[in-house]
Amino acid sequence: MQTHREIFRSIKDIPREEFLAGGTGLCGGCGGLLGLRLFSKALGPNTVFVNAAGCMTLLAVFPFSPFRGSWLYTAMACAPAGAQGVRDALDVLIEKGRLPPSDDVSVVVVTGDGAAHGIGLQSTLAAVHRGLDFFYFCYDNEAFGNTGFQMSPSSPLGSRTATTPPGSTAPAGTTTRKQDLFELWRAQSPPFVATVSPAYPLDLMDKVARAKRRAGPKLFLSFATCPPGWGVEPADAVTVAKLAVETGVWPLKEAVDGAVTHTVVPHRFRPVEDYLVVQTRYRHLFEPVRQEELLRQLQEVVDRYWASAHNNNG
Amino acid sequence: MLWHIRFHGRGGEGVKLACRIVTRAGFIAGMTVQDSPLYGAERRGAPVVAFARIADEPILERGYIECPDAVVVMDASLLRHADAGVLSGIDAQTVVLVNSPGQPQEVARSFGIVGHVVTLDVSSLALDVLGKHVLSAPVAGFVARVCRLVPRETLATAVRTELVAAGIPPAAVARNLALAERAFAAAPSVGLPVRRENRCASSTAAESPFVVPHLPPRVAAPTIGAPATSALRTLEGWRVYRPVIERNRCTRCLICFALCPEGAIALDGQNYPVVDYAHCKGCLVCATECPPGAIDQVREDAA
Ligand SMILES: Cc1ncc(C[n+]2csc(CCOP(=O)(O)OP(=O)(O)O)c2C)c(N)n1
Ligand code: SF4
Ligand code: SF4
Ligand code: SF4
Repeated sequence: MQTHREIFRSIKDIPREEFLAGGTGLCGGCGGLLGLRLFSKALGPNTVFVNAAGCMTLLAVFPFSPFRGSWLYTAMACAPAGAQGVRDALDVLIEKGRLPPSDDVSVVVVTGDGAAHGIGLQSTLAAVHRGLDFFYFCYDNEAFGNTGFQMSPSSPLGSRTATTPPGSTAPAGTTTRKQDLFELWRAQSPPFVATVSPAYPLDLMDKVARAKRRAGPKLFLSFATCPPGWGVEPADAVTVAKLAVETGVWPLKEAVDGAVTHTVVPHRFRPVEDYLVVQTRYRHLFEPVRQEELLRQLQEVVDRYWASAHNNNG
Repeated sequence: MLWHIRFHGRGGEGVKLACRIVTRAGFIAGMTVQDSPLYGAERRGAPVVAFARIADEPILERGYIECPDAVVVMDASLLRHADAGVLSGIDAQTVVLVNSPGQPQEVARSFGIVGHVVTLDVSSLALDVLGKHVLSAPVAGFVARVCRLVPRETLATAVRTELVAAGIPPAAVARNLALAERAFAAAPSVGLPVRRENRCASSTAAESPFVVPHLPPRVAAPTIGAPATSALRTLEGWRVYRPVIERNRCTRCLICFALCPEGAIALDGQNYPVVDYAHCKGCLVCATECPPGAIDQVREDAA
């Protein structure tokens, strides 16, 4: 099942222009980069990106930048505050007549999940609370990727990270559950909150087109395969992202003015195991001994989510 | 004696681990060792360098190896980039180990290498045995043999110790062991030059303190005035395989164009995809996702 798409109905509708130039120092097969590329294709060239420290720092390394518009770099915790400054400056210039309204640009925050779910959450929720008119693009690779794949509040139960290696005291690896950023945002009733996946370009881009028409805080939570961190081949980056959706692990949805709709629902859900088994960060669940109880729990989390999603007709 | 070995490769090839296996082998053999990798902020495919010091005496030096006794070139594409500094500080006696299918004289001539060049096609060995371009174990075997550092059994113990510590499963450890031994057996034994003093004494001498000047904010936080300048950087050296689109098999579904993370696939006038090889990193997402399998993977020329 998929909801009706308004602008991007087929791959032929994807703009030919690239708004993110090549030549960046990110890993081959980076799902974070693919998501951002599709996002900026739908958003167009008139943007200011405000970037919290993370892997996407490597987009612009002086004297090179892949952006057609501006890029402002901030510390990990304060990109939304930077975005507020940029938005205010644009508003003042337009009000004083020094910038024609037609030259206005979209303000976009780009962060990883470590900044979004942890160290930058306070400044983010404050910006949402103030109703700042901005896009917030979080590429979620489920760990602090740039500094060596340490656990973040977004790291899922049962996954290996550099700081949660599975061992005799914690055979699961990460023992906490993934924090739900979608719901944290939605609790504050911003106009647009969405999860996206670069493996579903049309779903992603159509959401951008819908969000563009609305003022206020807009979240794009983009699932991002991280080949070195997840232990998959770069060539399989999109296949693994697709598996996350087909198994129900990564639900594609949006909340427009608070009402949740699932935008892509698999006809038949594949077992969660199909997604886990292809990544070395979950290898300890299968060998040297299968951790049956944990595998059952991981399936159950997904089943319970979808049971309640269907009950709510969402 | 204190030997200096410098390893050059690209992120993801196993530079750091190769260096570690070699130093571990030296340690097991009773020598004094030191190993340290150096990489910048960039990722898979970006230049990485690692240093090994191996001695039969205490090692008092630290830091970058300016004048190596051996240089290990795990990725010959780096020889084309002067800023990677692969050949810096070498002289006629330096042993230069190059991962290449070419003959030593040819490789020496085409890259103007003054040292004693030894070649071995480590990439093909790894792709043969592992099916992956992971070179740590075979490069360690190559180095151990050429530099005459340790016997074969010591190398094997070092490979096993380091791979097990890195969490590699037993079957893969076994394949890497076999691979390291194949590289060891295939390489010639040359030995490292015996030098009486460090040719780059400056790297160990205490330097006068360097005062960091206070810079105005416009210099300290520079601005890039022109758009999309990253396109000036070419990344073809990052590839092990290049995607080659077979036009007659292509259905023009545009999936590769949509899913290339780098935006390195453009469409021509008839909507056929065209790869921009200056910016393609060789991730092969396009080849995996192409429904009719119209994208071939072709090995980049080694040297
Ligand atoms: C306040 C602060 N603490 C720590 C750092 C060091 N640091 C730089 S990038 C990074 C990891 C960011 O992780 P995440 O936000 O998940 O993005 P990713 O690296 O995964 O892309 C850290 C810890 C920093 N730049 N600023
Ligand atoms: S470490 Fe992961 S998130 Fe970071 S650039 Fe590489 S693939 Fe992307
Ligand atoms: S190999 Fe990767 S970077 Fe190169 S064209 Fe294909 S998808 Fe793009
Ligand atoms: S994915 Fe394959 S068939 Fe489709 S346009 Fe690309 S090369 Fe052609």
